[in-house]
Amino acid sequence: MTEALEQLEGIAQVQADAIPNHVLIDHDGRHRTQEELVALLNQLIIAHGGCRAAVMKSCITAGSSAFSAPSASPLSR
Amino acid sequence: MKAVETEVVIEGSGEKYAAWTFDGQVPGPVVRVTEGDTVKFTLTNPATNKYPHAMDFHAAEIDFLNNYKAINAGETISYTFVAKKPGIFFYHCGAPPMIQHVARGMFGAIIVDPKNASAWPKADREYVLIQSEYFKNPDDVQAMFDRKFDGVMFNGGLFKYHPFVSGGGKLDAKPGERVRIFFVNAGPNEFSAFHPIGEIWDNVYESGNPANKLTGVQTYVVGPGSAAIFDVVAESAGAYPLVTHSLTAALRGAIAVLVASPEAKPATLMPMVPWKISVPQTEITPVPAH
Repeated sequence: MTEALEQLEGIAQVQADAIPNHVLIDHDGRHRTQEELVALLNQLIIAHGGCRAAVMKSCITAGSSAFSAPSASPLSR
Repeated sequence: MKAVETEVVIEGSGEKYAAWTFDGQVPGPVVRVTEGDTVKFTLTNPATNKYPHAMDFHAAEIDFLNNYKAINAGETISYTFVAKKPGIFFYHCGAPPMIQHVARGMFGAIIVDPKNASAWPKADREYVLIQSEYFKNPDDVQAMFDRKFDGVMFNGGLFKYHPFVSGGGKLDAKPGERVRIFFVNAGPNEFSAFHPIGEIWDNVYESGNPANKLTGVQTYVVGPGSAAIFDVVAESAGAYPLVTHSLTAALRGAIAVLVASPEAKPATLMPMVPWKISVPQTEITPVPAH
């Protein structure tokens, strides 16, 4: 699944072993919005069952306000 | 140690900062001794440097006029002290303006382990975490006096141990391990309210002295220039972000995610120092010839 995800345009990095029971997906935001990416991922993984893509929103969701580079938009399984 | 004026990576994109350092890294190397040890210290300020530098060890009880004075480029200074009290202590440059020397990265930690190792529960894993403010312009001393920081770092990086941010890493542990955090607040100005999201500190030891034990602490204030030891046991697998609950600081860099996983590997005391960012290859980036 990691290799397949990395082939998608705009995906910078896929980490399957950083957080237990989660896959972190880092995208650059240029090719599609977060919502479009989530919809695409959920279509792709629907066959696997038990997996769900979502934009990570939590109390530690933070961008780097000190820099102009866009921050990561992690998704979770 | 050597005072080294150099660039260091401070952010996951590879952004560099003109730092002043001990031995070329921010924070400086961890010094670790045992209660009662004699420490013989020499600071070298190479002739290639532009600025004077100095060293102040909070673990030492010695005259500051003779020992902590600033030396110019091309000079050295040596002194000796006995680490009489156990704990975790701050060390930093005291050359004027000290606020700038600390803000630009001249700080680190010295651990003085207690003579009696059974003075506290044995830790399964240890980390050193040093909090400091980041000022985008290293020459804007007025901003430092005005407390106009642009971010807050752990171990010299913004979101260095935040896996949900590009380039960020994490702190690893196994479920059930006693993780001991040697926490130092380098400042130069802001207080830290250290809190483990999803957990409660099992024990907190003010200045890291086993005699100063608190139990069941949700959030503990560590002032600039101070330090404490924090023990946490994450019983179940998952993510437990360690933050300063001063949220203007946390959400601008001071978040370190402790990930508890059965697959956790051993780690160094101060991971990712220095922070090495590998730049991904793209179709327009030529691959270096071998």
